[in-house]
Amino acid sequence: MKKETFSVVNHSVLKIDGLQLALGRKSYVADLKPSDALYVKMLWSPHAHAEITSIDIRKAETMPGVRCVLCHTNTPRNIHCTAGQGFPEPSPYDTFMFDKKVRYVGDRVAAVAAETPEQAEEALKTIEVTYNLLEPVFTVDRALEPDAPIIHDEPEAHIPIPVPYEPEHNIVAKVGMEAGEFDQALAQADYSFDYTYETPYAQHCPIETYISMAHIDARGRVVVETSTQVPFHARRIIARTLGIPVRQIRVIKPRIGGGFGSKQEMLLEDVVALMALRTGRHVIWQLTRAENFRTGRTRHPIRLRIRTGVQKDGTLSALGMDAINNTGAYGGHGLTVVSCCGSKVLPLYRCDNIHFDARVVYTNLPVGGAYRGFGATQAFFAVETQIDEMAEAIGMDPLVFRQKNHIRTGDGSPVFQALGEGKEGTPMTIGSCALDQCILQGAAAIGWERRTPHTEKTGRYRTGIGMCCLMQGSSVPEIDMGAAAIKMNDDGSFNLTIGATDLGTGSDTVLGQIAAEALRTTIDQMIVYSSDTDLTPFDVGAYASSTTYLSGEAVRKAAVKVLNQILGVAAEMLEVPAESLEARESTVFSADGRQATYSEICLYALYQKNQFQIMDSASHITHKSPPPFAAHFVELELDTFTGCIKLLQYVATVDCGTAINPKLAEGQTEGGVMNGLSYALTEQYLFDSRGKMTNASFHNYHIWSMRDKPILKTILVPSYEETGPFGAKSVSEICINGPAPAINNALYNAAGIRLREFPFTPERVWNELQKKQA
Amino acid sequence: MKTLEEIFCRQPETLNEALTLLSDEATRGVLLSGGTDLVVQWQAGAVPMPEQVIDLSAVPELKEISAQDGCLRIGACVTHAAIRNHALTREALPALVAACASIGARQIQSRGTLGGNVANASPAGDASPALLVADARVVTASLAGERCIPMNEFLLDYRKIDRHPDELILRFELTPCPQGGIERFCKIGTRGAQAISKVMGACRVVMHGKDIQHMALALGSVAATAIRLPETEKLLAGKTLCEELVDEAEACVLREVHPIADIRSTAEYRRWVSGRIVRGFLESL
Repeated sequence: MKKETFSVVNHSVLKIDGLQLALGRKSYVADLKPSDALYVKMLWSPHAHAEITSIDIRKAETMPGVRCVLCHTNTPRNIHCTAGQGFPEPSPYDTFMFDKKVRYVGDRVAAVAAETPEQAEEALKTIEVTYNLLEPVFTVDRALEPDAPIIHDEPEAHIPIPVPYEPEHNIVAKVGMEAGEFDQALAQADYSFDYTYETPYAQHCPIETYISMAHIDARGRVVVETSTQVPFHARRIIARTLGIPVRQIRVIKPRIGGGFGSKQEMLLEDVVALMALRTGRHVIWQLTRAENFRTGRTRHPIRLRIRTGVQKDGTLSALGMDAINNTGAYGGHGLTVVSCCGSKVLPLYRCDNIHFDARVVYTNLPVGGAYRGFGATQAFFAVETQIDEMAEAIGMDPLVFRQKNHIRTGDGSPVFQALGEGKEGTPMTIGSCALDQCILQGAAAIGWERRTPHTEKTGRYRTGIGMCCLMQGSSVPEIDMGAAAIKMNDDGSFNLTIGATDLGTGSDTVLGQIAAEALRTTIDQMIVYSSDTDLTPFDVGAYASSTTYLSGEAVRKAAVKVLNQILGVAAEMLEVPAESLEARESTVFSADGRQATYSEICLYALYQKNQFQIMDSASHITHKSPPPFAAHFVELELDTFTGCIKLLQYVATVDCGTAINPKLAEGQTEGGVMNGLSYALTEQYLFDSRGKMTNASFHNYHIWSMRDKPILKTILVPSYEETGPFGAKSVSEICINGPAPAINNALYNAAGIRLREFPFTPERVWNELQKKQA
Repeated sequence: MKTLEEIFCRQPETLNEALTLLSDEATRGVLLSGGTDLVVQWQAGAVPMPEQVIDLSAVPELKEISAQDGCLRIGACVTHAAIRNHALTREALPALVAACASIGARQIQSRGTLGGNVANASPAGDASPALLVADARVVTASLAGERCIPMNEFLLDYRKIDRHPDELILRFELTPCPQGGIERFCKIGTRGAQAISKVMGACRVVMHGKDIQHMALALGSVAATAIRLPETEKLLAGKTLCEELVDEAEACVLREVHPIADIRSTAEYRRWVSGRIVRGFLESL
């Protein structure tokens, strides 16, 4: 590991937007609403699969307060993809602003903008729609049957990249890879295993639901202020959807109240933008919590068949994954999520014989999207459960089995090269891996040596200790790009503008720290402004664990360029060669002891001689996606009378390279673990027989609260990633992957049960206990 | 659509004033106490917003906890937090205190009331099993006078209680847990707070050595109302506690409960866990 002495990065400086949020200053989209804004309400499809045979909005248009009504008869019909991804997207174009077919309960039918939300609501009731009901498809099995109804039969549907897309078979995508001789290795293994796992629907549940507002500026352009993770993609997709030029649109992301992937999407913006264009008014639309559940994006439920082979000496000889991804009614992110089941999981263990085959399938259920962990969460549940099982079979401590097989610095994997984002991946060797230390430190913290086999446990309450290892990535190599611009001010401060998107994660602070470190100044000298398509450079946005690693390096490069300009001006002022100068603490020093402060340097450059603006910009793409690594440990107490699980302690270790802001990195980890615990234990989408979610509120969809938090210890294990800014890798996604497999392995250690699906509700655990007894 | 602000709300300051309002159909309204169930149901559209409401929160007689004639009196508008904290309830009604401490979260406990919990008449009302094992009587009042109804008769059916339209629940009268008696409360939910129960149970037991002198058992969320388990109680009372008896009792519970499946759990799990809850109680004695 490289020893560097940092003055700003690797320090837990305060979040630069912390105070404004704590004081409740106007920061979020809803805070910016003028008093005369129009409110949008949407008529959602009550049917999972139906054709709209007629729709009459005439009455709604004359209702009190109504200013605009939209439906498929009066809106542009431009096929697009709502997923906020690079261009062309690795997702099908299968969506219209409004369509004459509805494909899930919660699909758009018609929208009203009115002076009050109540008036909009009343007007919706007057819209007359007749439907021709079609057979709904609620399972991937039915979707794949030859006589299954076709969910996307519109002729315009296509995928803009050269990959298989068969909507006539309800197939959104297929992807796979082979390395070595998988079948043969599986057949020849001392022990082989073949289990199928199901992972459930879930929602991100950001406290701020989806919200967008649009208005027309003095020059007639449409300005969309929106809670998005992808302002530049949103601008591009709005333009395509509405059929207007990008130059007519400005997208601004103010502070946002959480995204977790759900807002890597263009979901409301097209409607408010078109309504603003038609009415000339401010138009605001925020989803209710129930709408957020039913029509917002979800975690893809994935069926994973895992086939593995192991030798008696602990060699992992075959590792196979067959995945079927239920993408719901629209296909955004379906291919990339299932690719990440393979690409972010299979390389974790050294294995010569690898098989991966995945299909993405349409159903008439809620729409999958990006969700923190992005496929890795689903796949780690399956793989890390089975890894534990293999260790058990050969009589090896599961921790030792992982130590023996996990990837190390200098290793590559055929998976990296084979699986990318809708195309081949990028070959990569691991440049930094402190997983060995993560395992050792986590084991010490949980007290792994206290772990005894389940066969020695009796009585009503049984404790169990389980663990798992994890990885993720940092950015999408050779595809995603981030850019930054830095401009110096006369008091020695700097404007840092970035396209990168802070969704509450603290990335404005982290990127400010990186700039301050490279500029040899302090964080309070950085004025950070992000995510405004008119004023900041481009960035793909906040996803794929990329902001610190990708955008951070763009910031560092821009800062180095600006520092060189500062040194050049100082050289002119001090009449010495620039190479002899040293900058620290906002001051440039010459070898002979003279100095010029940043303020003096900027004033000189602006006003005195050879005047120019000290400023520069930089863009960055990455050539690898260095994984962060983690080992998670949990100790729980199982009440065998009730099937209830009580978590006693949880330890999350993570190697994220250099933690640019350790407190924020810990916060990401703890938040992600809580998010994952809730997913593992309580969250579930319940549907009625017609495909409508029946528990679309926090009353019956249970996310964890602080009262549920176990003793939770986070250990940041440093490494140094040479290709990242000041040695940094990503941290925000990896942490959600641990709870489901760690708890499953602890349940085995407590009572000898292994579950193949979750959440681990008391009912499900009880079933397993019953089965074991029988 | 009606909004909360449009509901006409009266707030009587004396019991007599409240009963007078209730006596006249013109001024009669939905009775509101803490509002932690009703307001949520109105807002969610699960129950239509009423035209008028009588807010009982300013009637002092409804907010008292006292010991009288060997029984504990708890006013209908006493909050769960007050029950949780009061010396009298803490000493005499440990299962009820535990039940009140498990309702919603602290904020809910500070607003929600015992009378409201019972009047809401949900089979998942957390307080009911503990009230049942304490042989609670419900005292209702109208201008015509008071009625005293045993709790198990007061709970008529799913979401139905024996309250006449001109009555309100005045108080609950409970038999304190006798000296040396033991009470237990158990709640199965999905998370630490703000979770409606899958199943909950309460018991009150008086033991002499291993001999069971008195046994009261009640479960919630396993039938249309919270219920006592008379057959299991009969099986246990007067017997000497041993492993076989526990097995018999568990089997008896499974015969006595007929739960349904809903959004929170399955019928099979509820039935099974009912037996396990009782087993847990007995094994802890």
